[in-house]
Amino acid sequence: MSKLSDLKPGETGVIKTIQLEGAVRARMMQLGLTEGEAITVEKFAPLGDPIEVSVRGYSLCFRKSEADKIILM
Amino acid sequence: MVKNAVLTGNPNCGKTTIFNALTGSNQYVGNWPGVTVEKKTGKIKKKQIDIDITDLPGIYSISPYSMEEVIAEAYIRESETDLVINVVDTTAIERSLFLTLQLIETGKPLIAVFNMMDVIEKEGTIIDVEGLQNELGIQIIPLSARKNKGMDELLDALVNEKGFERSQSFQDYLQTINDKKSSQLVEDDEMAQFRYGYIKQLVSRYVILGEMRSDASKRIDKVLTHQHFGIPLFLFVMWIIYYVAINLVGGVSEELFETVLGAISSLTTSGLQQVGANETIISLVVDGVISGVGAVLLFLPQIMVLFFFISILEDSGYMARVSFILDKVFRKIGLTGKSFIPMFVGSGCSVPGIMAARTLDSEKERKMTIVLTPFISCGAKMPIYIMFAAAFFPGNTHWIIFSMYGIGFFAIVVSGLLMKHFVFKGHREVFLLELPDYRTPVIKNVLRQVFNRSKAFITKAGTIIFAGSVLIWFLQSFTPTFQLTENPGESMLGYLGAFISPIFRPLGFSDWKTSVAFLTGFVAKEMVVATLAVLNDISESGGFALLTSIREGFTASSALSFMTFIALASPCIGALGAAKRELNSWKWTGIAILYQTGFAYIAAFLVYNMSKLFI
Repeated sequence: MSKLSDLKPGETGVIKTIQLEGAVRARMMQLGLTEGEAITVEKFAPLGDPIEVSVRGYSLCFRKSEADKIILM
Repeated sequence: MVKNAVLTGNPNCGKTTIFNALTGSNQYVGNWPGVTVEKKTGKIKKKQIDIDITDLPGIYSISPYSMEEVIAEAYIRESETDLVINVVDTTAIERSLFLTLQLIETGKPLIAVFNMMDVIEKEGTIIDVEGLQNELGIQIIPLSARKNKGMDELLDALVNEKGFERSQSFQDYLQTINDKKSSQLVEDDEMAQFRYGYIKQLVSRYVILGEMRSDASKRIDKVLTHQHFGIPLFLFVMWIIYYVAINLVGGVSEELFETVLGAISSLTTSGLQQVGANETIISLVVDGVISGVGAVLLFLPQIMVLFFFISILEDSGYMARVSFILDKVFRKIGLTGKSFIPMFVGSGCSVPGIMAARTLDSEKERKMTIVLTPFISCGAKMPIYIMFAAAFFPGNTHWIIFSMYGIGFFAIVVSGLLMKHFVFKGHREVFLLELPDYRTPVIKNVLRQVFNRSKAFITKAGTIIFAGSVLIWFLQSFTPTFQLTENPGESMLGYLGAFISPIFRPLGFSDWKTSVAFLTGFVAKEMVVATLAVLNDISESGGFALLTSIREGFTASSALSFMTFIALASPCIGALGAAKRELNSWKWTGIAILYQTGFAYIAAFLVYNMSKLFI
């Protein structure tokens, strides 16, 4: 099972599903992280966490613990 | 006729610039009752227009998952809004249209403002505005708030409403969405998926995405969030800001202010004497009010410069990067990188710092940040540190001041860990933050923000400190039998100080004068030094005489413990008032006071006893 946290900076994946609970998952989908959408890892913060991604033409950051639950196709 | 409008849109969409352009100085910033969410209202009074407009907090969607969204949804649904003005960030058009669709679904009249057209034109992106208008059945105004283009068309649209017909495909979409909503079996995720599916269709039909997307932001981030240089650069930026605000500006303005203050005092004294005013009244006005309020306003220039830099950083987009860089550190104590801003602002004055906690995502984060922000020494505590450091550690003043900030950080870390493990156990903190493109700050917005934040500080001076100065003057000028006295030792304040001073014995400073000085610090931390000067019968607070009397009344250890206590104990009434308003509960405010002061007591005790081993 490929996860977002497996990607290195510059790599792109396609979202399959988000295995997080209710509110967080809904929030991410509202922000455009939906099934079938491309998501690219841009970089990691200087301390290693959080990660910056780009999706639907904009940049967003969240923690590796969340990225670990974003399953890719 | 539109009488009431509501402005809404994603964070970073340029809503603030548009709101400021529409309302000018006819705006008011407050809170939504009962919650820590900022509410901005204003009046549009241009040409023939007279419309009340409410600026809703920036939201990505209308859903029950955050206080901002709950408020926005309730307001749009329940209020007598005639018109929803949805500002769309065209550089993130898909994500922005998500909210637009939700807003149209509410059924309220809506016009969309497509902002940042200048940016997407450079990218080569073309939007078929007319086509979209006829698809969604709403008027769309292309605009560049930054370049001031399109504002006239927006004002025109507010007066001359144009109707558009919805296309069949959009009507089908609405039907399906409404079916899903009423079926109650459909979850938010499915709706989100469906909406974005429709948005993809809209974009494929009406938008041609340009190829020339600028990578300026990426290139800047290569430097600013660099693996190795990102953090040092951040520390450097902090250092420059403080150096300019406090050393450069402060150095100049303080002397100027003191001269002006001295002049005002003398003029007032002679003026009142000529009018034949009572000695008591003269004392009240000059020694009480003017010196009290003056001591506080002395800081205004430094604080305004600090706020200016903070606003520039926020507006440019750099602050989001700072939260990105620092999140890992804040995470360890149960907060997120977003808590940095309130604490940064709090280093100037806790009042706007506490208010800045409104931007945080969760109630838990807001509560924690409000309680912990005062541990960062505010500007008013500086004279205390400078004075005591000069008395006992001359030549090492900077180190002492640095240590006091360090003690503040330490207190935040320890408190955060305690709260994380005992109070908010098991609570999972989520960190989601958009990193907007870097933009040149809009100076008008920056100045307005500086004004709003400084206003909090000035209002504190004008009201609480004014009243407090009068009260303290009264308590120190009259004996318990209400006789006028020149000797503060015999005054009510003196008795009060003597009464509480035993509490401070374990901390090393149980002189009644010190206790009194500490008490006056509740009105404003600026008063502590001023009070020590008055009680030791010294006319100039900065003078050599005060240093001498401090050396007599303290030891190096008790000086350290006193500074520690001042650094950590509850902030002045102004900040406590702001905390109470934001926490919206006397109980939580009381808990905060007990916690902060208790922590301060223990810390000062430790500092006193441990330092005696070395000094």
